Amino acid sequence: MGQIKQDTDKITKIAWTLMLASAQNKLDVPGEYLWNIPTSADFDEIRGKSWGVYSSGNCIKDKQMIDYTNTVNLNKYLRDPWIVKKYEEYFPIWLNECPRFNFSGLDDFKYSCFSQGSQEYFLNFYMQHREKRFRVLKGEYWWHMEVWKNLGLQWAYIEDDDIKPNDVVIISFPFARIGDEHPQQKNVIDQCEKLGVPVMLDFIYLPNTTYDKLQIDLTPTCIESLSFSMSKTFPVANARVAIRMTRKKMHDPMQISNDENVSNRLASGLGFECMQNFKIDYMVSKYLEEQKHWCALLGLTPTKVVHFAFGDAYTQNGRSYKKRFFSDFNDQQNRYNLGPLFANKNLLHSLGYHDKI
Amino acid sequence: MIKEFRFNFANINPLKNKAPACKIELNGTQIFAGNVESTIVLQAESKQSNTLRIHFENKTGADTIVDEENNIIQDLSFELKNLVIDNVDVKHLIWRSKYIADRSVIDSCLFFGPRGFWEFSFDLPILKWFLKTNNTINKNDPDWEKDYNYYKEAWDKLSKIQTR
Repeated sequence: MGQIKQDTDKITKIAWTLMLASAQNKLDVPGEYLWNIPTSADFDEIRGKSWGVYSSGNCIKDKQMIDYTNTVNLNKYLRDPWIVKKYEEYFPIWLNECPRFNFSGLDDFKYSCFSQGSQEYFLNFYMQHREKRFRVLKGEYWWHMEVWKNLGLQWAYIEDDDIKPNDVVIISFPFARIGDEHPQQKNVIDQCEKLGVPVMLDFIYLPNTTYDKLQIDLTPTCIESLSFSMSKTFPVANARVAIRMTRKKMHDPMQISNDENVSNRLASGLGFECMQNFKIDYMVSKYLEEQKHWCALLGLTPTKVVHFAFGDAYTQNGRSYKKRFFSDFNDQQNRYNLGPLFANKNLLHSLGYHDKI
Repeated sequence: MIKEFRFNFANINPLKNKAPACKIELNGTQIFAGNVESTIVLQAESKQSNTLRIHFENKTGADTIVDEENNIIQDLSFELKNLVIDNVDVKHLIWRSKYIADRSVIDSCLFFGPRGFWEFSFDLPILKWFLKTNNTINKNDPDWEKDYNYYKEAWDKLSKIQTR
């Protein structure tokens, strides 16, 4: 099979168009839409931010879901003392209902705890293991490294040193940079299992995986905890709806707050509503064909996460002006977020960008 | 083609009974005459290549008041702070201008002190001229033309779409 030729010119035109449309309030779904929101339609402003159209991991801003969440009465959850528990109990059921996932060992993760975004759990994980050395593969979610650097915690890329007994490992699955299982994941988990090194699996992109049947082996006991979030799946990221699942009951600040029943009921309520009304693979069912369409049109390679594609770095090819990521640890420039293209289908269609010419 | 010109002036120094006044010309056609204000916005018919002039006409020798040691203590004067043409601030390129007084030509002068006129030449589209000229001077923006074309195409296409 021949290599796909990337249409960088069209990719760039779409980026300029969407960023300018954002400034001019002409996107299909108005509001806070694209990472790197332009403050004006001036050339410099659009130029400096246009590449940001593709650079986030953010969810697809699905209009149907946004319309639904606009109807949710969150106040009733504020007064519902059981909502966090309901959310925690329903999550594994909702997860297991998806025929795309075939978990081995999920039932061993008996303890679910609401988390105010994955980041709350990450911080608790850092505190728990603050005396250890954190390990990630290159291309992992940059937030970890940025925080470790600023807190002065020990860390190293897995590629740069052997895994040692005093380490702890975090792996996103699918992996943040490539939108698929990292080729080293199994090997890393095997090593951790031998050494007794704790592993956290971050499943933030799992709901959007396009596998028909994904085998997920959670039986290695080194895998101590799982992190799930709705932020990259549904347009609720700023509500901070996430959950942690563990083999053993934790006794960290997050769990203490949970036991005290002071966790965020608005977020839990919104998450519960989303689970009640949308399947976990809603975005995959709705946008898989769109992913294929855009990848064929732009010469990108679909990843196993429905809103991502892989291609030449968008920070090259004329995208060098004012190029910057929020963090120096972010090296995801080959991963294209197609969500803004999906969500703006009508606009891009009317401008002649959606169809093959 | 009609374009908008926005002049922002600063340090407008009137005398007791006299304010600085100017006449603005585009390609030899007067488009404004009156007292200098902090902002003057004008619409004017423009060509592809243009010369803008701001004449400081009501200045006389008597409008510069000096003390016994010849220090200026009052002076009818003003400064051009910035210039926006067709919504594009010409920024530092405003210094590619000159001030022609009775007996001298002063390059890169935005101070209207002596009687005379300020002159600035530019091409349209102004953004294209700005990017090209800037790169010619500073040689720091080799991608300017490619990005200008992306911006223009996006702008042209979106101009046919209604705001949501």
